[in-house]
Amino acid sequence: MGEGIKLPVLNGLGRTNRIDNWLKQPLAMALGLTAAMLYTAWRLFLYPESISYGLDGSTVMSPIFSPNVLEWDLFGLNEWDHPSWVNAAVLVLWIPFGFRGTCYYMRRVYYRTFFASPTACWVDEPEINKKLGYKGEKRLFIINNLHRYFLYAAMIILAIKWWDVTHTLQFTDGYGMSIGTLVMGVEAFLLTMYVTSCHALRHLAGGALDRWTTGISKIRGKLFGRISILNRSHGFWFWTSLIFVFLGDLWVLAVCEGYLSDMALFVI
Amino acid sequence: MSLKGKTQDFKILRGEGDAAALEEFSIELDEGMVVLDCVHRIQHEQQPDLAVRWNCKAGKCGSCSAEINGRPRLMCMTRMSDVVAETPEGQAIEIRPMQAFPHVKDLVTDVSWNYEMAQKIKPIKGPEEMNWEFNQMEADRVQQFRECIECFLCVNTCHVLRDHALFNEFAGPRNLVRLAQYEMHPMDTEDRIPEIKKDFGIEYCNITRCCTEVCPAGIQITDDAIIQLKERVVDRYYDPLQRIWRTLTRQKVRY
Repeated sequence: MGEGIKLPVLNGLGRTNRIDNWLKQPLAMALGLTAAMLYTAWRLFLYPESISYGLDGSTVMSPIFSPNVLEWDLFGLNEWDHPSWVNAAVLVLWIPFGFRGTCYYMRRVYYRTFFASPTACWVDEPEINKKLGYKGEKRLFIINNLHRYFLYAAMIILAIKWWDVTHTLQFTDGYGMSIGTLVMGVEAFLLTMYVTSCHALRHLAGGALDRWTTGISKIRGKLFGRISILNRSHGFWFWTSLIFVFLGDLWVLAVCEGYLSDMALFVI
Repeated sequence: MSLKGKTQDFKILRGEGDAAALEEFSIELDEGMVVLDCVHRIQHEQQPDLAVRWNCKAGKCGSCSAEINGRPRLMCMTRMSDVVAETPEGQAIEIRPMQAFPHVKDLVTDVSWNYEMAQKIKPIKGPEEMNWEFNQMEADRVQQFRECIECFLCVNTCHVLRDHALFNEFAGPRNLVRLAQYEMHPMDTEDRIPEIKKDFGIEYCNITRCCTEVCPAGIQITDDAIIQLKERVVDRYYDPLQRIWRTLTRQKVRY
């Protein structure tokens, strides 16, 4: 470090020389995430009913509770005399939760909103952050290095989500589509975009290599290029897919409770 | 709205050491000015000893970094029309030097720490014969990192250095970009991963992306440099499957 005296920077939570409305974005994101977490908690533990409905032989599942592993023969889950607080979401939701929680985009959001580390660029952090001693992702958040393992699990869940979409297509009289198909289809599409634009996937696909010249490495290089394009809008896919999970759940809830009704758009 | 003839107030940090303080100036604007033009006008008309670094006036030399209204920017690339628009009517536009670095005088700071850190990075090691050939895709990837103009706005912005002053433990975004440039070079055979983790402290970065936001060269510092390096560190240190694979295939790497 060169010789010289450091300027006295503004110290203390939220102190800055910025003159724009820097609090708006972190505040909106904090509210969005808090609402998402509260709603999920309510659905999981207080109101785990009305999670799916049938329409002329097709089944539409709420995105929060899909896949409904408790209906599976696998590991005898359908015969398991489970405690009353256990439901499909409790068993599966740790995967999308872990994937989103360790996501490189999401980290920006929660370090800024919940940890004020920092709340916004060029805005000082609270005293407690400095007293605790900043360790970045070396201490507690070292867990974020597991992102790729959550990615593997999320890919399996995603495949099952698409499988669940096919269940909305099979009617008693043949194949068709309902509004529920669109709701689940859009949700599965947005989640696919979110997963395929993942930074860890980008690295595993081709980013780990320096040369993309021959054979498989050439394909991996091309894959890296494609994912890189999607990766630029990872944040967009993060938020849209998150919002649609809840919109989808509200739709299923509304239909089950009789506020709205679904209908077959066409059957062939 | 035309700015010609408009009288604009500025507050510029003047002095050195403890005596440094904001001083108020007022000048008449012309059409099409950038902030650096205004600083030069103040220097020319009122304060000939005002210290300011500048060189190309085209956003290519990276000399005129400063904090304008609390936001680090290149003075030569910041249009007065934008700054006037963002500043409430009647309020002075504030110009300070970069705050993460030791202050020298007025708007000048000492950024030598960046060069000292850069010296610790192992240079590219490729084939002896300089007939290096690689394809365009491989070249494009590292070319982006070469766009860096070393204005050090990213380093000034990074909270690891600005708020926590971990200058001994962390290399800063600029040098992580340099590391990415070398590490991902198609002909390079040097291994820098253990240093990136231990000496250059990549794990201190918590991806708040302020460096990318501030980069005047438009380099995707976080997505293309830092996260890519972080993933390589994960490959080496935190991925048990890869570790098993390396053992089975008898790949020897440094930890």
